[in-house]
Amino acid sequence: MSSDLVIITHIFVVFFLVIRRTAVIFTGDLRCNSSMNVPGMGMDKSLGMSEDKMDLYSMDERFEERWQRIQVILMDILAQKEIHRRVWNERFSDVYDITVNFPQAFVDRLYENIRALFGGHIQRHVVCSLQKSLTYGANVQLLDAYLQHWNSFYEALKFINKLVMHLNSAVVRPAKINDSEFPMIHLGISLPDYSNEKIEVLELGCQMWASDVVMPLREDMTRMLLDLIQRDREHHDLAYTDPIRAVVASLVAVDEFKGRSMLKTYKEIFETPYIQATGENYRLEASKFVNETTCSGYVEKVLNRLNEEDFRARRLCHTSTLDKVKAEIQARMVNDRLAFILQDSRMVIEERRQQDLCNLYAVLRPSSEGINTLRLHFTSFVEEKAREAVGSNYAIEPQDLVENLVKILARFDEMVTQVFSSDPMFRKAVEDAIRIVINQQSGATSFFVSAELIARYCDTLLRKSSKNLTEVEEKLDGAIKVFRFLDDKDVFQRFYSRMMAKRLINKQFISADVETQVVNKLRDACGCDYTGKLMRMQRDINSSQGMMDKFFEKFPLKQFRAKCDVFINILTSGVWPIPTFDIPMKLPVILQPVIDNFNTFYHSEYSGRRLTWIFQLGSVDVRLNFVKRPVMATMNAQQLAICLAFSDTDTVSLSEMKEVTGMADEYLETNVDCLVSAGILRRQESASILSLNMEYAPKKPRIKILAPVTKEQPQQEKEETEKSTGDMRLVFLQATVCRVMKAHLNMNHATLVKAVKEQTQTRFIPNEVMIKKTIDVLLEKEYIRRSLTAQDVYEYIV
Amino acid sequence: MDVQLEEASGGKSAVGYVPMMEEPDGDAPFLPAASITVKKFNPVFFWSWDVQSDNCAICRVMLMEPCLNCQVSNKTACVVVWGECNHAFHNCCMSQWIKNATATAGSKCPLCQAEWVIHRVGN
Repeated sequence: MSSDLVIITHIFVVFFLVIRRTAVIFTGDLRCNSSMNVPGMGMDKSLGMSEDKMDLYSMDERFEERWQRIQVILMDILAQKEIHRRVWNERFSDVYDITVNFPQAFVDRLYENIRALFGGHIQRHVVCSLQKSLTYGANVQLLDAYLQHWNSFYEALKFINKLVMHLNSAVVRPAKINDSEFPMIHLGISLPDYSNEKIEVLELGCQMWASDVVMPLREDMTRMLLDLIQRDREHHDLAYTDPIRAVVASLVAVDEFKGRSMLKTYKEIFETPYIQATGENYRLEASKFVNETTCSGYVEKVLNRLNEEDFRARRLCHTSTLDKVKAEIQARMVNDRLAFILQDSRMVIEERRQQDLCNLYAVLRPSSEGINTLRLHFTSFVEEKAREAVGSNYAIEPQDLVENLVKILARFDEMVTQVFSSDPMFRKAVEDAIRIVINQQSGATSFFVSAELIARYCDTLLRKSSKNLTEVEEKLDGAIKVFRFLDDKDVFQRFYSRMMAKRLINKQFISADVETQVVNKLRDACGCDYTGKLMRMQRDINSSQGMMDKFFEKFPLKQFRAKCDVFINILTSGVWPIPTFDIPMKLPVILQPVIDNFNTFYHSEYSGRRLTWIFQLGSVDVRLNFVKRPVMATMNAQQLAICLAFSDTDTVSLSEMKEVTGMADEYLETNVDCLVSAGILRRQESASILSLNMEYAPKKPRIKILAPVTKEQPQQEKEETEKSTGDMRLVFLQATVCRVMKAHLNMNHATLVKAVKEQTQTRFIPNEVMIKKTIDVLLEKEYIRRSLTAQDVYEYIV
Repeated sequence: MDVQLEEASGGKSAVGYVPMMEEPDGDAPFLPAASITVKKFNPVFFWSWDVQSDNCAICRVMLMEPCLNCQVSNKTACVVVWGECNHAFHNCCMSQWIKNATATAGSKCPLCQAEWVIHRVGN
């Protein structure tokens, strides 16, 4: 049949249809105006009739005349007879003629006639024949017969739909108002009445098929389909795949119109019973398996079943059913048997049976309850392992703490990737477990301990030694990884900065680059603010180098430097976490020229600055020549001054010493103690008389004399840190609350607390009480006030 | 300069514990015979602005820190300015202060209301 011609005429006809319909409405003339001839379509003799012969009674006849012709061709198409192209075209025009030249009542009559014709065809040919095959019992023949009828009926419907396409457009309510109709709304002219909600002929046919053929047979059909599928399931009999699929497709097709798929028939006849039957089948199977096999064997079976059913559903069903089937099996085999599946899960995790765990994860993933339980088991296992690694109460070396945690992190990260397909929930479980362990506070002693341990670990790595640099970098990366889990990041910073200050001043760092790298990583983790002082410390050290070069350019001090290395650190006060109080003393006279020259130089370079020499910091390397084997000793300037007091005498009393060095008693005594305990000085019978120890013979040729402060420093530092951290946190919280309030002007309590928590977590984890207290303080200080109009809302006072 | 060093080191002839025989000029502390010789000298100095008060009265930030504006724009070179009245402020803060104030009151020190005359600028 000629589709080309159809398309061409269609274009014409649509055009005229629009004009025509508009014209009819404008004139209000419901009678057909036969003078309105359609060019190229004038095959119908009646169109040539004179107007006076045209009346309603003859119109009725003329309609019948056309219907008779149309009826014949429709029956022929339904009977799958061959249609001549000429006949097709003529009937096409007949339909068009009726839709255009007849009043709406006739158009509706044509539609109703077609409906009746379909009904008759279905009853006479299809239902009868199917009933007949039913008499032999519901069997495969029924499906075959059904399919045969369906295919030919559906094919015919599609042709008929094309033939009567103008009828469709005349009776089916348009999706939206078209352009020609648009002005009518404004002119107050009523639109053609489509209110009887007719549907296209194709859709009509399908609907009738669903109600007249499928519905009466539904029980037999459903049973038939399910039986065949069960056979497939039990015996892997694929022979009926095609018929089943075709029948299922027909159930989908009868509801599939206008691009959307209603699936009503499909769901009722097939999907719902299918899912039910599948569920029942696996419920039985599950109860059988549970008694037969182990937990992991069961899980494996479930996975197999899921795969099989997925494959089956893909072959047979509409795609929308896939997930439902799987969900049903999941419900019957997993959710209903959760307790059984999970009973071994803890053991599987502990024994790290990789494959079993993989299966378990795959099976449990869709069940939120199951996966949560599995995750809990996993988390507690990781936590347990991490606790083991950390030991109780942090009685552990810094190195072990960090390296064990890094190992655990790596091990479980790998496990998450391999077993739990990188599930973010499981990754988070690992992180949470580590976080809990590293931040645990068992008793008062552990407060801040992990922060300090990590800082110490970094310090050990960064100190000058014979370690391999790449290895150091790797380990530092690990330390940073662990650091990220730390809650007390502010405490870490204080320890770290203090240790870093010592490394930098004493030139004990392993590499300036690595120092910078670590600081950059800390900055990445916690922001610029966090590392500001660390970076300024590094900048001080770098600029000191430049300053020394300039200094020696102007003041070469050749003779002095020929014997003695000089490097002066010029540090910005306020940046370094070191007490910078000035302890008065008389400068050792040999160092005077360097200091004087440097002072002159510095004041000529800069203006408005004050320089303070902090004697107790920095170092002096001296060679002790008074013993048999000369020893190199590193000490501070105060200790040097004490040693130099022996330049022209064997014994010096403390009071003489005080005179020579100009030091206050407390510093003098502590430094003397250091030198005595190092073995360089000796106390005579009377403890206040000192002499050099001429038999001094240390094992190493290079010794370091401890400064009095460093001896008691660790304990002091810790106490000080604990004390001041609380204060610092309060100030930080106040600043944060102010910042947040200033940005938002008014905010309710809960949101404010949340925002403050977010902004604070790179430093420490504040608790509600602390935040509440801070807010109260700021209310009192009148930075913010309570809103008078809304409850629980604060306003920023500008 | 060398003269200074020689003078200074000349005064240090008595460093050695073992009594010295004769001492070559200017080399006294480094004689092998001296009981203690200094081989390496790494002193630590801290510098700070030569100011009476630690804070800038305008932005209330420590004078040793960059002023608020410089902190925001992450500038580190933020120097201090002294007036004839010996009050010190961040240079940035003060120049902003002068800019804002000239129209009405003329440029005065925010602390003592004396006419603002720059005494020196730190660097």
